[in-house]
Amino acid sequence: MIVTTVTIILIILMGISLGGRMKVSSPENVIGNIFTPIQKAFYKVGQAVENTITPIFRFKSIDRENKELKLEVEKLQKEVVQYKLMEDELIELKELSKALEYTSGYGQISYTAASVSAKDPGNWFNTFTIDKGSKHGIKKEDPVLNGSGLIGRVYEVGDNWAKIITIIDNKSSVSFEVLRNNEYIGVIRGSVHADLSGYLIDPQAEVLVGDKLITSGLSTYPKGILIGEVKEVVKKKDELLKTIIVEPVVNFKKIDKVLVIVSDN
Amino acid sequence: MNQLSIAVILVFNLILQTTILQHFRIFGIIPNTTLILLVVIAILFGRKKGAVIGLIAGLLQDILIGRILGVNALVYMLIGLGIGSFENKIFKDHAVTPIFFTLLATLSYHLMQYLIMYTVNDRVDILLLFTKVIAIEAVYNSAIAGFAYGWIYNFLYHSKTKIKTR
Repeated sequence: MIVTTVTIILIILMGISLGGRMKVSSPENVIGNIFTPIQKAFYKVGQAVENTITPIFRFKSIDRENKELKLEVEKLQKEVVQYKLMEDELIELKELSKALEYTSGYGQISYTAASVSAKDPGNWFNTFTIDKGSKHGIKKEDPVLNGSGLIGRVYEVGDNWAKIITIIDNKSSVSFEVLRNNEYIGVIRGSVHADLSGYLIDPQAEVLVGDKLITSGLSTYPKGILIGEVKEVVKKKDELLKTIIVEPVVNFKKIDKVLVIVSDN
Repeated sequence: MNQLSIAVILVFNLILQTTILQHFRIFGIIPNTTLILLVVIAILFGRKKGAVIGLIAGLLQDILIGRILGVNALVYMLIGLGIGSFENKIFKDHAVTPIFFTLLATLSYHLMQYLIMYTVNDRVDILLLFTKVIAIEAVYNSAIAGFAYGWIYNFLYHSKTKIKTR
């Protein structure tokens, strides 16, 4: 009897909290406020241990990586010289655009930096919590990214903590465009296996392996955030749309610092 | 075994599972230590404690990191209740018992999770889920349960018998 009652109460709770709420209830908020600093400390300890142990087992691949990186640095240094020349030109042009009172399409965006305090203990979802919340201006559906690219969006917010859903989560979908040609747009989704796959809306679109994808600005995410690279293009005979497998730029196994885009309004 | 120490163990376990263990995923999977702990407690203490502890542990997990409030609470409660009802019918002194029940619990955890997700229209490819998640996690959980059982058995059960014989 008690079990049935509790089950019904829990099912009602599920119904209420389905899809994330704008504001979490106060007991949840208090529990989150208490746990977040502790979890943050433990997370840091785990990270420190991992960062000390893993290089010992990976010294060969690190050595190989080192050589590759040196080659890349040489290549990039050559490019930097070119870009320096272009920068000067850009500054001139920007001054010119100010004179012409041209407003750019990108509005003022402010970021809040936060660190990860805990990750989902199960293997179904790819969610994590951060140590900043509504006190710092974070709201539900705010986009989350780090230095390399798009991570996900805010799902629920407490006083000084927030739950984030990553783009590789199986309930997440992002609208993208191909960086090479912004006419090619489509949608990618995450999966249980924590990879990204999706399709292009235009069946004639020529998408190639290695193409970079950015957010298109059509979904909750603002335009122009790097998502990943196309790893595989699959064209099935009986399907009209091209399916693509995408390799995300963010290493989701090693997220520690994230940026939340805080909307001003 | 008083309630305070069980609470401390549950909280500490959840903190470990969400933080330090995250850095040591093998094949992208981490063992569900809450489930292991719950199975051991249900085997040793029976259905009543199993259900209550499952409910509390699940609710805590849902609040701190869960997607939908109540999913883990419901699943853990039913598992604690189900396995706890075998308390008087099983031989507790052998490591095979927790290994078997952890296997069973892992499978039922994912099955119930799948059913709930199916109802809330969150479709998941069950075959992919089985090969990439459930199979690996079942092996991990059972192995850990086999090793940890003896230790938890000594830690929890003997203190319980002391109370009972008084």
